Amino acid sequence: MITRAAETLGTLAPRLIAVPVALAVGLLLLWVADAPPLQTLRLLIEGSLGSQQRIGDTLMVWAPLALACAALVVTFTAGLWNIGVEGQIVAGAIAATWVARELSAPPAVVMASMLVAGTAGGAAWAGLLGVLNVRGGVHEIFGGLGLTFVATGAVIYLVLGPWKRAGVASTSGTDLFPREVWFPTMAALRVSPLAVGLGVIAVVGVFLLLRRTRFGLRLRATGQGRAAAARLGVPTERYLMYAFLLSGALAGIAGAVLVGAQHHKLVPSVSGGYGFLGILVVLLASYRIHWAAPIALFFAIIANGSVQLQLRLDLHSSLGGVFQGVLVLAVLLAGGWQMRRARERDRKAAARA
Amino acid sequence: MPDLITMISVATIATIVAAATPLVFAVIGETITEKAGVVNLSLDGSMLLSAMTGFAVAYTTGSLPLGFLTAALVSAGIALVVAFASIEFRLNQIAVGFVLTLLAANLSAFLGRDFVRKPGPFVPSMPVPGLSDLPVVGPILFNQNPLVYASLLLIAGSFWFLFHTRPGLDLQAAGERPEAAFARGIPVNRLRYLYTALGGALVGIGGAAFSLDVKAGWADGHVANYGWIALAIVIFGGWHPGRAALGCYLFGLLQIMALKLQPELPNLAQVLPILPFPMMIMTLVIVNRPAVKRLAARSGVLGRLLQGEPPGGLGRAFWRE
Amino acid sequence: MPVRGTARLRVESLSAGREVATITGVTLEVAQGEVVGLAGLEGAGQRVLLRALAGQIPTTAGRVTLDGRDVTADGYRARMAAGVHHLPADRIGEGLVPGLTITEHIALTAEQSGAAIDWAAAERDAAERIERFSVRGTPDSVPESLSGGNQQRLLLALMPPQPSLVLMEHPTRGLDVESAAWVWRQLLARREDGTAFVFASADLDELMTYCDRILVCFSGRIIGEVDAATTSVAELGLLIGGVTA
Repeated sequence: MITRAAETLGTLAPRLIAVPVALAVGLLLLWVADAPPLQTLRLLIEGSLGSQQRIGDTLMVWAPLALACAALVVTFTAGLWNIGVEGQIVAGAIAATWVARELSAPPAVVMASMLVAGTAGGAAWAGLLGVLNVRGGVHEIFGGLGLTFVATGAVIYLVLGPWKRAGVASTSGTDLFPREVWFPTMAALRVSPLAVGLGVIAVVGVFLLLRRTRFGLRLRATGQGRAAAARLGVPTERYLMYAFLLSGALAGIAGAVLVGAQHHKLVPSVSGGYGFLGILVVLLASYRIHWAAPIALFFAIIANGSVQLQLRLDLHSSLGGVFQGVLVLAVLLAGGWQMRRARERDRKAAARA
Repeated sequence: MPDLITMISVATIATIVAAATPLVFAVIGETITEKAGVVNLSLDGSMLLSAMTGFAVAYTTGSLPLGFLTAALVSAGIALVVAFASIEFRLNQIAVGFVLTLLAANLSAFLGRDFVRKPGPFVPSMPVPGLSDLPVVGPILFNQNPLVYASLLLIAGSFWFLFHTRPGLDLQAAGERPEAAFARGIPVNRLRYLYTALGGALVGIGGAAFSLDVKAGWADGHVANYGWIALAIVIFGGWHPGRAALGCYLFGLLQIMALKLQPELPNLAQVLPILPFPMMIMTLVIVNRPAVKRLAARSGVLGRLLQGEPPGGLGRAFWRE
Repeated sequence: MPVRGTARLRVESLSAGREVATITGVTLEVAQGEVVGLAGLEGAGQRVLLRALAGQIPTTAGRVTLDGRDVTADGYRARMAAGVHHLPADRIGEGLVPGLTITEHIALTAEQSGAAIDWAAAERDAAERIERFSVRGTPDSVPESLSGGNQQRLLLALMPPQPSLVLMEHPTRGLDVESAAWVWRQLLARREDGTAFVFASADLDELMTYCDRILVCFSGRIIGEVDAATTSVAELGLLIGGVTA
């Protein structure tokens, strides 16, 4: 156990070089923008963690991001690049909105149905991608990207057409849902325990699924060596489909949470890039869900703090995105550099032997 | 519905050709890169950042060529990061490209905030004397700006280069079967660096063609999604410059139709620009059918039209042990 | 002496494969406990035949019966359940999953019930099999860190205890002499239970040493059958080249 921990530390240490690199780039950007670094940092932290209200808001960014990460870890484990997660979030949001608009029932029933519909919507959209990929031979990146744009087109069509606000068609979204089906929030805060709870359940659930179950092991085998997994008796095509469906279901829940707990209506940019941001988080976490969850929190802090920077320092809110991107890029490159050094060491050792 | 015949008039076709020009640069650039075996997934961010820098430089210096040059260099630089990470570190090209696209998009918004909605220089129209008076072809091809002429030359030139010259065949060998190419003495990785940078530079020119011509100016996310569309068209084009260019013009047609339908069918007009994506997916499904693959394997015009296989070594790092 | 009796595998006019990689009209019979070798040039059809027998390549014509049961329409997993075991030539690409530990390979192939994996049991099982099959590694080793010989030992360790038919591609390619002999001792021990073997090899000595019969493949057909005991390597070599007597 001790050696394994030391090994983990050993492989981790070189990647940590990436953190000061990313910080240096961040400072450089602040210098370009002529902003005081320490004050910027203070505002960033205050903006995301400075009050109960703000912590709540940060958690509300974390919840859908964590769900997207959980979704992505499932497909990455199966060796799939589910860039389409963004579209699956949108599909979940559409389905949940449909329920919120059409179903008249007690609020609790409506909310539960919104979640079920979101799950189903996301899973269906991912299932379509799965069929295209597994049966149609379409690469999941391009299929997923295409379906994401189709889902976005569908939202625009719905918002401007059949679901337009009474009287006016506007890209600001549909009518607000009836207040009683907004996911309940804690006291005066904007945080919905249901949303955060679903995020936690998704993270823990995916962790246990991949670590403890036969399903998870088979999914990993499919991802790491499809031909060998098939020879060892894993029905790999079926497992690829499972991965798509499960990933889409989790993304769909994220979509339902976004409309049910955040926007309270369907808006054209409903997914808000959570799917794409989730890919960054999962890349940074080396595809491990237990690292992705805290990194997602870190990213949520940056995202929320950046909004404050824009308001208070007139720094463009894209600064947070730049910093996140530099950090992930630096970590990827540092990891690659470390692998290269390890290969060279092995080669030298082999040459001596 | 407006009369389709009047919609597709000579003037409309000329507009389509002009509107599609930035995409032609980007799509041909990415086709060249992918032909050499590298996927540069950073297109969307690259085009945003190069559109911004191109405009910023041209605006500040007043020099259009300098603007285009900067845009090409910025985008080539991003593309080289993908090549470097893949060749030197064997990192996944998709992962690196994806991070770069988000990073570059954010950078364009952050660094470009001083240039938003400023009236800037744009590429002037320059009819070709004599040729522009020809019927039909004249207004469509020869009454345009130099950028359009350059894009037309690029289509023909890249086709000729890829399929009819020695270096072009070497490029394809490096992308199709890198191991075999290396055994024949082709410097696979050096070529990959070269053509990734060249393709990236063309993508950058495409980006600047938006801010300095078609859209005449810069705003946040002004040209967002065009990079993804370009990536879709590369596939739709089956990694063939001619078919890829056709895809660009088809998309231009969709855009112009959307514009013309806007007053009468606003919903449909909003959704039309989405069409390239389902079209790309359908293309992929069709070319992947075994029966179609067998047809495509035969030579001839039909085979070339249906050919949809990506280069054999696409996305795969190459190294010798 | 191994059990020699009833037919284990019966193949009648089997055709399979697509485009250039095909076999046509193959008929053969393998008895319980018998070892049948497939000789031939690379691409002469041995690989396609083995994979068609394993159910990985669909049959286009003919019939395959296993222990009297028609399995022609069965896919790979159904044949696996019927006792067919396939050992591919590419040990890392197709045999073992890179990145999964030996324990994880054991858990993947073990016949446990329930959704959850008992990791402690899997690790004990792994340690025990590592010992029994003399794999130079630990339960935490990943296959790509093992030598070719140890990879093959691991593949044997993952084999079900009593397969009815084992199909192998180049079972000892790249192994040192000692490992190769060890592998064959392990394999042949299973003949006592009636396990039959069909394997392809480019090593004529290996074929001559371990086979009861050798079938010679040439351009997708079986063009001859030789008795390992009465044929010389030179004669076999000529047959492989397509020179029939």
